[in-house]
Amino acid sequence: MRRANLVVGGVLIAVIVSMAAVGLFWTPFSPTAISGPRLAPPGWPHVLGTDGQGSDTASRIISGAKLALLVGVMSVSAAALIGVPVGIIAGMSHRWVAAILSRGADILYGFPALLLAILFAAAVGGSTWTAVAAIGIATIPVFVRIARAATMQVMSQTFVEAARLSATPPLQVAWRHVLPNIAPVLGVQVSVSFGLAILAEAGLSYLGLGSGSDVPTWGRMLREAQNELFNAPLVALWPGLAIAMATMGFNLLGDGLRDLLDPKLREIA
Amino acid sequence: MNRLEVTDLTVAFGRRRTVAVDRLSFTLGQHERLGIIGQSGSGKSVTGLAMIGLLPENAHVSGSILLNGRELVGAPERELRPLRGDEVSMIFQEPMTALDPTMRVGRQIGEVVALHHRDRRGGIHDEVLDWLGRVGMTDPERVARSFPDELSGGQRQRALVAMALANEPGLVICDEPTTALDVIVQRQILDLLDEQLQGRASLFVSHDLAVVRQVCDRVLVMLQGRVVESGKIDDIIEDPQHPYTRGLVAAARIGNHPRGTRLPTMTDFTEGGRA
Amino acid sequence: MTLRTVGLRLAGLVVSLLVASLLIFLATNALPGDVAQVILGTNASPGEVEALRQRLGLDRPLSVRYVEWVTGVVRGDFGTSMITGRDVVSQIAPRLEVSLWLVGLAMVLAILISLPLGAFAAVRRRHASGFVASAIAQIGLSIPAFWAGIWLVVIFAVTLRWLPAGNYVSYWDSLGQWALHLVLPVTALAVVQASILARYVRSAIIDVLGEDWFRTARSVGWSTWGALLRHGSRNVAISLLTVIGLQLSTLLVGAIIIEQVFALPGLGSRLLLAVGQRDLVVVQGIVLLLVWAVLVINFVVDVIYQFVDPRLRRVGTNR
Repeated sequence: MRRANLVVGGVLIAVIVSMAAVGLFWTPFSPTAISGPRLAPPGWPHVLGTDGQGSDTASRIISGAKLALLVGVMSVSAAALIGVPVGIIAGMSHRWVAAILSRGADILYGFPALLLAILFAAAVGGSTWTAVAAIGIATIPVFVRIARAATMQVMSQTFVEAARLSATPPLQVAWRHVLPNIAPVLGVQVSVSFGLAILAEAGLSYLGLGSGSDVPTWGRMLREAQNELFNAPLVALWPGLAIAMATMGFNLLGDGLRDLLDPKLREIA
Repeated sequence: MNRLEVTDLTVAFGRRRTVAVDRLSFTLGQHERLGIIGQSGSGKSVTGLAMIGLLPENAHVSGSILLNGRELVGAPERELRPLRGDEVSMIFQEPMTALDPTMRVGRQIGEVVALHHRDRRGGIHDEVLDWLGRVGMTDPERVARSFPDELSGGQRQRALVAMALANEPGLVICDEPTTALDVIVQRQILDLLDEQLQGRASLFVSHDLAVVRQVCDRVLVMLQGRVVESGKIDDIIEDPQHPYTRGLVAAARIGNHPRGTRLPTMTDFTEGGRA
Repeated sequence: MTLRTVGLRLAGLVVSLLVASLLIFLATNALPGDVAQVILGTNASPGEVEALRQRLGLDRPLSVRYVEWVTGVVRGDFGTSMITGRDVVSQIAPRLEVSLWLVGLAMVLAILISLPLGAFAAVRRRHASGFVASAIAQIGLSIPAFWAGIWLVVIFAVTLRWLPAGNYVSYWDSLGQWALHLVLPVTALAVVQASILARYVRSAIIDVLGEDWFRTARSVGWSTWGALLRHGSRNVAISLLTVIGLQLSTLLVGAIIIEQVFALPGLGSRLLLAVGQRDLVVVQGIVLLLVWAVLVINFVVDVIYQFVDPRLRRVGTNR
């Protein structure tokens, strides 16, 4: 059962990633141009049919994978690059520094990605970049919290105490002892956050707060499909399936990795 | 009739059927006490849990356990449940964590009675206070109102003894009941058990020969799921037959060991080393 | 928990609220982009833009505008809309009702679904049926709430025609219609939330099943489910309480999207309308309301937590 998580998650992610990779060079039709009749049912040559404009749904799905992964990679890596060092500092430092940093993370917790995206969209207009920024910033506190908890766990262990008693500089302790030991926990969180980022991006583009109208995204496809719900409900099926597959893939991968963790760390992740 | 008759009890775990208890047989008279001694992994605790039907789900049990003439092996949950806490009960090793931290101690004891005897519900409060007094609490009222973390380890174990005995079960399984306690408290709890187990049958699981000797007169020595030696405890201490038992006895007599020489370890006995 | 600790936490809350308001203000006002220009369109002359900037007060220093805004909010004055010219409070007040019903009912439904689902997945975790329960939660976790909403519409409104596909009817007008119109949106929102909660319930109950005191309860004659209800529920409730607080922001955000799917006239749809119009005053007002609600409710949960858990409660009084 445990390995099943990893295997199913890995397969789902592989499907999405290869779709995105193929989409970089080739799609069956242009994802934005009109290539057939409106709302054609699945068949040949439009494997998944066409949307309300007459664009090929399969091509738009493939193209959407690219953007979903792009937003995921950029927002999660930005969040980790900021959140992890802050969390490690909070975990290693004195009470009041730690208190201020975690209080800051708590405040940021009150700002989900969507609210940030709304603020940005109101101020400068929505784009792929405001979506990345919103999702990235909203993900920072998760990494702060996890990195801090894991760091405190590592710091309480004897070998770190030994290193500190022998006056090893804090930076070296952080780099040599803390980071390698908390890396597995962070790996789990990266995977889980990736799934959440894809879900958030879909929500943003569904509301029209993300990428521009020239970029096909899964969320935007659902928004457009909703107008045709009475005529062609199937159009609303495919983008949702893609979102669910990608999200579930990263969730399962995260769960599978968590099961491989040391039990002490598992409680944190 | 014997209180307990165990025949060829075998317990195996998981898909690989790792054997924890291997064809164990013994009987226990109405008022008899039996010690089961062995190191961790010897199957002694599994044996204790099997008597009350609380083995984990992945356990495969075969053989026979007759409690008051009733077969427990293979019996459905709905038949076992009325027995637990009423005809057979168990006292566990960890008094610190064995009580629900969110419920007052008096209620936890009282509900054991309420669960099995609807007719006694009216007088439960008095019964609880009575039991707390009988297990040696100086201020039963206060203890009954306390949450577990307000009591010491020894007081908690006394409360657990009261819980186990509240319905006057004929058989009490004690699984290392004093191991987690410090020496003085250990002594007090042993005296309490010795007194309260009068007139009942009991199974006393421990790794400590000295502890078992205080309460039991008969003992089984278990090693890797099998009984390697059994009989009167004084005879066994006097003249241990199995190498493992010899090791146990020697370890219990550490005080007699000459200073400055290497202490014996178990391998000295089991692998024919120098004793 | 003493008055002193409550006081300290309260002070912490006030600081959080202020910092949050500052962040919201900076995000809408300090980012590059000229709102006056956007509102008037690219054809407007520089003079017109400048006049609008002055009328909206955008020409004054940021710090002055922030202090003015926050002191107004504390007095219950959220400013006036840049577009409609009406005050913000009167525009969002009638919409609160819709959102509160949506979020409140969805939370209740989510808890009602997640408790049995999570408990079942935990107790039967070594059986195929428990695995199925976990898999259901995993699927619910992975689908976007708005997609669930769209499919509920396809099935129950378009195909079966049992329920309306959208809009809101006040319960003053018709209690029955009010309920019918809320069924689908509340369900869509609750399904996802229930899946998240079910996973927490499951792991909380697995923890309980492994506790020594749970084994004690079983050894005195409780059945697994009986012991869970009698002894486990309080312990599970304590951990669930925290999660519900933390999940509240997810629910509020989900409600914004669900309001859009079902065309409900709630806070979320007013917020998105304001975003489209670049009505910054309304946007920052509603966002502030939502963020403050999350912070305050988490504070309350934190305080309740201290009272529910007897161990924590006494740690507080002893000091």
